[in-house]
Amino acid sequence: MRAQKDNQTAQVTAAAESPASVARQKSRRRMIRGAAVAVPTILTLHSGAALARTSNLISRAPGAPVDGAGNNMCLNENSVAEVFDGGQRYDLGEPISAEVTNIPTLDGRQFYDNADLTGTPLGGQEMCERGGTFYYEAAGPLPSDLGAQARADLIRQSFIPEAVDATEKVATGVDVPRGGLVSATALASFAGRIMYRTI
Amino acid sequence: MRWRSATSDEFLWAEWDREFVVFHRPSGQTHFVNAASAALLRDILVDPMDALDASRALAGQTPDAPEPDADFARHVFGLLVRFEELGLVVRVSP
Repeated sequence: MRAQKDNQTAQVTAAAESPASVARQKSRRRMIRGAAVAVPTILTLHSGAALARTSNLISRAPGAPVDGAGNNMCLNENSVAEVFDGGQRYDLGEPISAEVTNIPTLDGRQFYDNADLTGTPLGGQEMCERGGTFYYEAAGPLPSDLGAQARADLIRQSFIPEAVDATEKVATGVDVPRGGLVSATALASFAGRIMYRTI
Repeated sequence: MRWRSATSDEFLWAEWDREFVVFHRPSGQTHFVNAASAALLRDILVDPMDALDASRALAGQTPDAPEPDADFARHVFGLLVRFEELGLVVRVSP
């Protein structure tokens, strides 16, 4: 029995090394090499598919990541289908529904939670987690932007400072719906299906 | 029997030297495809097409593609059926 098995093995080896077999192998290699170039092929990778198939989940990002333009990306928790784990994960639903507020971090504006612009400026993460209306100091208009009466008032103020408090800041308010910061990488997998707004 | 690609926003593509990885959002599956398959999904099957026309279009697009003989068309047909199974293409009524 063992001798028969050895003989079979020897036959297989001999067949594999015969000139005809070598030619077939070379032909096969050529075909495979050609296939890699010209014949359409597909190979399916399975890792990580199960979760994505059942839901459109996105997690809150650690820290305060920014996108390529320097914006914090605040996912509005009222725009998603479901909020899990106290806002650590969001299900965007099917079809996907989500709104992201871009909070600029590089344009020099400082945001406050009051129109008097007092207290400590808030970062994007805190604004996003608290939600609400936030205020920043608006740039004053240039004299050339003003009408004749306003220009006259401005000139009068410059000569009579006590007439108007010249240090008074003009605040502009912006709304940031409450939610959580998410990363640009995570949002990229939902490309084209997220509504963005920038404050 | 004709097929067309799924809508482009269902795909996320990455390319490295004419080799492609595509993430299909509705299924959550990631596929590795060569340049010819990428051409099918991104360019050729934008318009509904049967396997023979798709194989001709593919041969026309790819300089080193084999002649679109019956074997090649059969291979493309089998691949389109596989694409349909994966949700990458949809069958279009005649």
